[in-house]
Amino acid sequence: MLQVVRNVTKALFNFFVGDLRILIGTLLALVVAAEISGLLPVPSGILLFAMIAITLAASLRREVK
Amino acid sequence: MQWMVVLSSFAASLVECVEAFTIVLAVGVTINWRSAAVGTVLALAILAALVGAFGTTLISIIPLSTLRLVIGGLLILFGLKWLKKAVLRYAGLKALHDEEAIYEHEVAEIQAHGSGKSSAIDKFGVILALKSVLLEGLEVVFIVITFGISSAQTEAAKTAGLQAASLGALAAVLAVLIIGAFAHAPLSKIPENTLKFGVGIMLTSFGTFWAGEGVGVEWLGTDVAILGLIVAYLTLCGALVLWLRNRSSVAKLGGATGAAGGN
Repeated sequence: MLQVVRNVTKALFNFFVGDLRILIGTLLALVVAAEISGLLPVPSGILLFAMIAITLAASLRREVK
Repeated sequence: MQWMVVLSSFAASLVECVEAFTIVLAVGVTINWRSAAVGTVLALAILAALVGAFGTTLISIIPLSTLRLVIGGLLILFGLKWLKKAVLRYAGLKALHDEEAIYEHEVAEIQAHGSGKSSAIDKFGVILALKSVLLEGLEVVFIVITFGISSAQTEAAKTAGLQAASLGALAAVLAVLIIGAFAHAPLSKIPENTLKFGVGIMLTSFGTFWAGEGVGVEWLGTDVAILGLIVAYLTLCGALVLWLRNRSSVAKLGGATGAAGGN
């Protein structure tokens, strides 16, 4: 049973994300943008893009290490 | 006929339809048209069921910002996954991994069978098309309800307003379908890797825009900001490809020097 749950979770993760760095980076970017948007609604969009860009770069860097 | 309502609804719905159609087109061209069609039909069925069940009260039941955040977030994840592979391929680094061999093997096998891509229904493609059509379709429904009943004072005026707004939205859907029918042929001539890179850019840009709206970001120029995001992601990926190429050539040079020194 535990093995089935593990396999399903792994399959879902690979299907939707494939890389833990991308998941963590994206979630972090959204949380930070949500927090900032109340005070600075326009710059928070730039911040969101910048954090996603860093996420992609970090994921690529890991891939070629 | 309330022509101002028809026109306003047409203009607003056109933007949403173009956004949904971009993703459906991308799924159709890169994965297959069957998956794109199944996702679209499923989304339209869900939409019809929601509208049929809740009618104009729908606008107060579904929190659009939450929906934008969830769908946008998933699109970012899908998009980054595709972009990562595309950037690695453009940088010439994908061949270093087994995945490249698998990819080449699959392509060769498909070509040996005489077809460019599988016609079987692909879960990934269905989900992508479904999410986009559902989100944008809901936005069109919200536009129709808002534009249709906002200025009406009586029940008869509300019905007339809803009919006018629906007509505008329907015209927008038809306009996008006609434009899409012409755009489909030139798109299918683009190499597969380039298309997948383009789709990655689209998914990430739309995802960032929608998720941003979901968390309260105010985009400059509202929907026009998507174009800015597309340019920004293209520039970023170009820079990342150059960075990775430099990095790998430095590593190769270092390796060669090391080997020469060792000998």
